[in-house]
Amino acid sequence: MATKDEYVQPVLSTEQVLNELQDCSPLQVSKQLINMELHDQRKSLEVMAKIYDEFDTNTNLVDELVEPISLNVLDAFILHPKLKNLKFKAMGISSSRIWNESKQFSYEDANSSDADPLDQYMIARERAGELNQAVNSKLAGKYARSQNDARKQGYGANTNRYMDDDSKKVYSEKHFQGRRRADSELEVNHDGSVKRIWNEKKHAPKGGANHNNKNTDHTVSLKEIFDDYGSNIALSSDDLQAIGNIDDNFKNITAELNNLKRESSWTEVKTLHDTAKRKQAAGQSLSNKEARSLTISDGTIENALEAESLTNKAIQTEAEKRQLENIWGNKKGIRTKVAKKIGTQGVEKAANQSRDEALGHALVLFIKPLLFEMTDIVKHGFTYNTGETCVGAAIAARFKRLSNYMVTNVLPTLKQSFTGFISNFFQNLIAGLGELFKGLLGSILKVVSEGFNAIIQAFKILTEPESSRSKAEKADAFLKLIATTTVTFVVFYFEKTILQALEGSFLKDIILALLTGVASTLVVWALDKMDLFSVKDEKRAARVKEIFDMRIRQIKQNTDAFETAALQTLANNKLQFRQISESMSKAIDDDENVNSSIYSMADFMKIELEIKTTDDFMALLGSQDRLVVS
Amino acid sequence: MFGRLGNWASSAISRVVDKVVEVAKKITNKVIEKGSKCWNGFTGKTTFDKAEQLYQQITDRYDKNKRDYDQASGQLIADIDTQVSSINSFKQDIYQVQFKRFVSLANRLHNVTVKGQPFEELFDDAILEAKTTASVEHRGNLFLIDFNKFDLVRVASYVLTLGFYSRKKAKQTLLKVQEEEVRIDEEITKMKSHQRQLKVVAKSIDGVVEYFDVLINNYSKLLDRFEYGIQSQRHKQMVQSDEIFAHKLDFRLIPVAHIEEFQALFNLSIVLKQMANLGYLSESGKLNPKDTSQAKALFEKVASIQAIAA
Repeated sequence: MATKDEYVQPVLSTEQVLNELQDCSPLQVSKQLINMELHDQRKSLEVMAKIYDEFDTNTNLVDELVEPISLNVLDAFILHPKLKNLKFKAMGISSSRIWNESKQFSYEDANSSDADPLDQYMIARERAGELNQAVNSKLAGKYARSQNDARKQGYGANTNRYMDDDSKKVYSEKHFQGRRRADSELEVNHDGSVKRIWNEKKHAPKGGANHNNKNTDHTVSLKEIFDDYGSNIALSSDDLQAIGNIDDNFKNITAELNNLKRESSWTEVKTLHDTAKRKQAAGQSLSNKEARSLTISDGTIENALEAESLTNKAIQTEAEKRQLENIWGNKKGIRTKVAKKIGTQGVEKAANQSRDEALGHALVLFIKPLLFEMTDIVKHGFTYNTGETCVGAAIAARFKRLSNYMVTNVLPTLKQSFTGFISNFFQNLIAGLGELFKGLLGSILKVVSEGFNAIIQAFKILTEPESSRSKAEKADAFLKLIATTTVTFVVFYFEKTILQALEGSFLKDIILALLTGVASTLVVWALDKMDLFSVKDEKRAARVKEIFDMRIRQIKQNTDAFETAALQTLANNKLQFRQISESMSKAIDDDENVNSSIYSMADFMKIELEIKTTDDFMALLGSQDRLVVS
Repeated sequence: MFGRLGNWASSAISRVVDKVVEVAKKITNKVIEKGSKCWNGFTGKTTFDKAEQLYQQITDRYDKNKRDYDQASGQLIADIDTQVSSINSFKQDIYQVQFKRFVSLANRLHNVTVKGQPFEELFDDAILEAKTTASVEHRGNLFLIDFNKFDLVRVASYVLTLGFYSRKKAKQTLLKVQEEEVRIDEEITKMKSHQRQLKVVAKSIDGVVEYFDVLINNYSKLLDRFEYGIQSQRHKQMVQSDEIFAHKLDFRLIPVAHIEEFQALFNLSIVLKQMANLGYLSESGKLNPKDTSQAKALFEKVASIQAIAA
């Protein structure tokens, strides 16, 4: 609110006028009077224009409405009981904190303290790992390598509960490509050259089983895989089989080496090898195995360890991929089977929960830039600081910015498996938001007409005096009313994508609330711009009246002061003059000395007379030849 | 859901438009304009009518006030003009008559010169006129919507926007006219204030006229007294000497009373001279541009004549 001083008229008081008038000679009074300014020379039109300017740049909307709306939505999100495990409160994350941080948010300095809470995601993920142990291990059953073994265990004749399959053969054939001999995939001789292996035993040099015929070895043994993943209800027997027999798990090595390794891991083989070497150096006696292990070169051990670590990763990835597919993919089969098996939805819920919690965290990091964009739009308009001039392009630019932020700052901090899902989710969310903006603003008239009653009520609420309802309550009521109309839009744009993906999750309500909040903010912005009820115009008209009334009052006061003082002075002057002139007249008539009256008159008129006494005059007459009247 | 809404909306709107077209065809313009209260309220015509009424009122008010003001100030300025003319003639009188007399009388005693010229005040009426008045804004600037122009497209647009647009514009118009009303009030107040100022100025000028009148009167009476005194002294001297054409009287020999009179006249002359040289309303000799050009022409003429003569 500009100070009223800008529009104020100069003030003229009676004393002021009196002083000015009495300082000058009565002869000058008229001039003074005509030159006095009773009001400023500013044209009333200029004043009007100034007031209009003042009203064009008014943005209290953010404080009035957008803040309460956002806090509302944030509360719904952060205080949701299902997200309790994310421990927002313990981490000091609250609605007002996020709101304040979003006000200071800038794309340049991301990675504030909020990055830490994402470590909580580790906990969520480990909980997902707990799936492996939490369930009755009876589910796993017994390890069987081949179908025969399985049958022997007591499974049915056509059971598929065995680990081995034909992939080995295919892999090996690919490696040899019809030749008789090929390189070993892991082994090197003591001199560094690669060992050679033979495809068929009969071609191999004599030596029997310990000679260099090929064995296609499972780097991570099937048993180990079975032990690790067998109890995972999210993995079926087929899955286990596939995991065990991925190409990455195969290595063609000599039978000799394979016999030594058996079902242990390469790490264990290395330990054996090191122990043997130590013992040999110490001169101790070696066991049979240890002795055999000494035939392995160090180079082989190195290759083997490298291969093992790569394979572990590959197996883990494959396992997780299949796990997720089974839980969230469309293979309903595994879910219902599982549900039947354990008689409760508990585990699936747990899986969903960890996913949701991960999503919750990502959303918290996403909300800040989103809020920033929304308040920026309301405060400065769509095109501000985007380098675009048309609204559509500006919206697109803003969301691109948002999505870049997510990709560079948020998603990389997520660990492995959920990244794909979450990245997908946010892409859909951001694309949907862009559509929502365009759609909502394009059909704002429809929104307004459909929700007309709601809007009338909402405006009544907004223009209530502060005493009857607090700002937050007002915003709340407003939001509820507007939300009814904007929800249809939100649902329309997000039904096929996000809302469906979150079916059955508690996050759905939260996301819906968030999106409704965004849509309502847009409606608020549009309504303000449309100024449907000419609220702004009325305020401005009131201010115009106020200012002009003040000016008119001042002019009247000035004129009164002026008139009073002027008339008073004129009357005084007249009185004085008459007195002097009467005495002058009398003196003339009575043949008396007129000089004193004349001096009084000259004083009255503030005219300087040099000759003050008769003696001076005589002297003047004597001295000067000619009298000059000047 | 949205699809159905859209369909409903578009069919509803087309129904309305059809209806409007139908109605327009059947009924004349006047009837629709004067239409039902409901229609007027919906489109905002009632607000618009209010605005028009108000606009008419303030235009009338402003015009009336301006007329009154023009008349009153015209009268006042004419009065002031007359007074200034009389002051001018007083000034002339002071130089042409009074000072002349004084000089010729005083010459018996001592040589006297009066310097300067009377200052003929030619003041521009513009000094007295009010410095700014802006009249009521043109209607086009205030009225954002005009219900008097009727056409079908307009009506349809009002309906399609559910009257929002037209109501809003009508409201804005009313507000603008109300704002204009306040602004015009300020202008009217300024005019009234100026009128009062002029009255005061007129009064003060009256005072000045009185100064002149009285003082000149006194001066004249004093001159009479002085003349009488001088004459009587001259006669005395003439009696005492043989010469007919007497020289100047010796001021040392005449009675003090006359010296005092002389002194009084001398001082009063100074006063009158100052008064005669003053401008009472204008700052300084405001030259009439016509005068300057005339003067210039004259000078050139003189120069050419001199050239011929030379």
